[in-house]
Amino acid sequence: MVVSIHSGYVPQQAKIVRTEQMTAAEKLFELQIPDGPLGHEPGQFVEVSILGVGEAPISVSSGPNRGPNFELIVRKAGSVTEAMHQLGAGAVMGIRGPYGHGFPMERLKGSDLLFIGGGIGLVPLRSAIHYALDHRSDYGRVVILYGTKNPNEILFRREIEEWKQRDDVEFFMTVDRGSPDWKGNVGVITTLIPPLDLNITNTTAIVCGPPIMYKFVIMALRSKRLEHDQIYVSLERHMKCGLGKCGHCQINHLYVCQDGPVFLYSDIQDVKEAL
Amino acid sequence: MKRRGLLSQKAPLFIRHLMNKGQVYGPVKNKTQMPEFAQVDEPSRVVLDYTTTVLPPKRLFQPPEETIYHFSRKDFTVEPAKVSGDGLKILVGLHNYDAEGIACLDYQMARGPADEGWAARRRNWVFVGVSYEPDQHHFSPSVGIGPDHRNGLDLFMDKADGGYNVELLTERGASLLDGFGGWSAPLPETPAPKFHNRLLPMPSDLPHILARSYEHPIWQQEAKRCFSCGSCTMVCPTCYCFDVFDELQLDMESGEKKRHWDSCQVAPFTEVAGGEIFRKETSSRVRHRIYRKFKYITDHYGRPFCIGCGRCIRACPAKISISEVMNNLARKAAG
Ligand SMILES: Cc1cc2nc3c(=O)[nH]c(=O)nc-3n(C[C@H](O)[C@H](O)[C@H](O)COP(=O)(O)OP(=O)(O)OC[C@H]3O[C@@H](n4cnc5c(N)ncnc54)[C@H](O)[C@@H]3O)c2cc1C
Ligand code: SF4
Ligand code: SF4
Ligand code: FES
Repeated sequence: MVVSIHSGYVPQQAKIVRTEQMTAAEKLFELQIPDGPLGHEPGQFVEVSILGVGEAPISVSSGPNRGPNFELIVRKAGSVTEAMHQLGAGAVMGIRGPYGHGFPMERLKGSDLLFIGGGIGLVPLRSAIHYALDHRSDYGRVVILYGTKNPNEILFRREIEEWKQRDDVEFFMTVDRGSPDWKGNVGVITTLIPPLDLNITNTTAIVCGPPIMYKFVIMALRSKRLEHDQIYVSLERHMKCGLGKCGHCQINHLYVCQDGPVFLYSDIQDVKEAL
Repeated sequence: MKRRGLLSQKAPLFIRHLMNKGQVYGPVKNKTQMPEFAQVDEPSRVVLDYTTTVLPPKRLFQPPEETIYHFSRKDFTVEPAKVSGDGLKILVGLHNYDAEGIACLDYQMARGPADEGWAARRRNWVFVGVSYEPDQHHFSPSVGIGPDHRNGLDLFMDKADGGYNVELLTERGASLLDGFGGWSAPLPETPAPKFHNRLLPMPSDLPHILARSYEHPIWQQEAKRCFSCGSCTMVCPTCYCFDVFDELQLDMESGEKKRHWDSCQVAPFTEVAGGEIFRKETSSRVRHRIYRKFKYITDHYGRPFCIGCGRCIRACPAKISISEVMNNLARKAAG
């Protein structure tokens, strides 16, 4: 008798329905799987595989209520992500997952939501933003703060225009360094926090960005008197399996791929390797 | 407990008998000084009297490198790897600490999504233990694995005067003895082995010592000597981290997804796109390994995740010793 092993690593085929070059380095992929929808929670990720090249963990960027397909936004960072960028509509990539714990959208019902996305960190936040907008009456205010290095790196330009038009979304953005035709804010993302007029007791912050960003954003939120258990963060780590086994994603005793990537800040504030 | 005497010269016959019952694995003679766990083709090659092996028996259940699946890029077909589930497998000559090492990984591999490779390869085994003479590095009794420890074993060959006393520990083990006629009366016992290395704290104190030692200068001190070579993790029976990669055939169409053992002691282990390395300092990696053994998993496993085999100490080119580190922390905590 022979038994098959490692079925948990076997990807399913996802067909690329549409792509869109968002910036020089970032490309959107709309994907379709045979038994879609994917059934993900906002904030979860999938392992994308390009056979012969490798795998990469990528956040599902679209909300779960946006039809049978789902979207990934991929930044060119190395071999797998570059191979993904070579692919266009009609091509196939491998998908396994979704994995991890996402944002607890049920539990956040009734709360004002403050989204803080730095750079590509807006990509995972967008799935939760979609969710909140698709269940708009379940939530209080929806405030979105977005910062990028420069205007060329701004993602979701069309969608941002829609958010700005809506009177039930408050959207603010800034760039670290402006350009001659940039008319918006210049400065790091934390500069957007002090002017906010928040209902502190009923606000939950949801933060995702580059590693360096968290400390400063949390400090700024603390000055606003937000408590540690009112802040969710989504963390990125090196990941190889997504199954809590390979060890690459560990922060102290936690496995980010299984225990995260979304954590309540009060749960990890004493976990030394977290932020 | 039932015991039967087995004279040394009858041991190969006993192993031959086991080979008629199933596939036998054990510590077999190797080109190097130490025997290595492998399938036994000839009883005389089994070394029952050995200090330890370089690689732990874990390699039988999580090979250093294995195929996850075969794929073809052309039509996107993926065929999972297969292992043979046939027949009984018998591991002879297992030291009692190594049985505990396997138990540690049985626990960890079943947590969350279970590791199917481990589960499939762990089926149908009978473990035949053997006693051993510790060298200057073993400290198993300090983590609760003293000479009388028999957890996870089905039979045990206790070294005695002129041979072994074979202890029948489980039904499964006892049933393997059917048809073997080479027994003697139980042999005179030899004195219990003396251990030359030990941990000063009680096993239950180890996590508490680490809980207050995170910022201790010892991690920096040890890091000064550490080469980040990863040998300590490669030989550890309770380490299980791995890397996953694709291997493409020359036809550029077919290939395999594979995994092989990896080490948290090398810096790129935690590197992400953008260049951030989350455990960049050697000291943070040295600390991580030791916390994994005595704190992180211990906090839910309830026992040390180190079995005191001393392999990491023997393998370390910088002579970094996990027992010495723990003892220094214990002394400093006490003083
Ligand atoms: C939970 C999670 C969600 C993510 N979501 C997105 C997303 O939505 N969009 C996006 O563009 N990127 C995302 N990333 C980052 C993305 O996974 C990495 O950019 C990608 O794995 C790099 O792989 P590569 O083969 O292209 O690069 P490589 O050629 O492998 O290496 C380039 C660099 O990336 C590092 N790296 C390699 N493998 C990984 C890995 N598995 N995880 C993290 N870093 C790695 C390497 O150490 C090296 O520094 C996410 C990462 C995580 C952990
Ligand atoms: S074997 Fe020794 S030198 Fe090598 S990584 Fe381990 S502790 Fe460092
Ligand atoms: S940490 Fe060292 S002594 Fe402990 S089980 Fe691993 S190799 Fe053996
Ligand atoms: S990605 Fe392998 S353990 Fe988390």
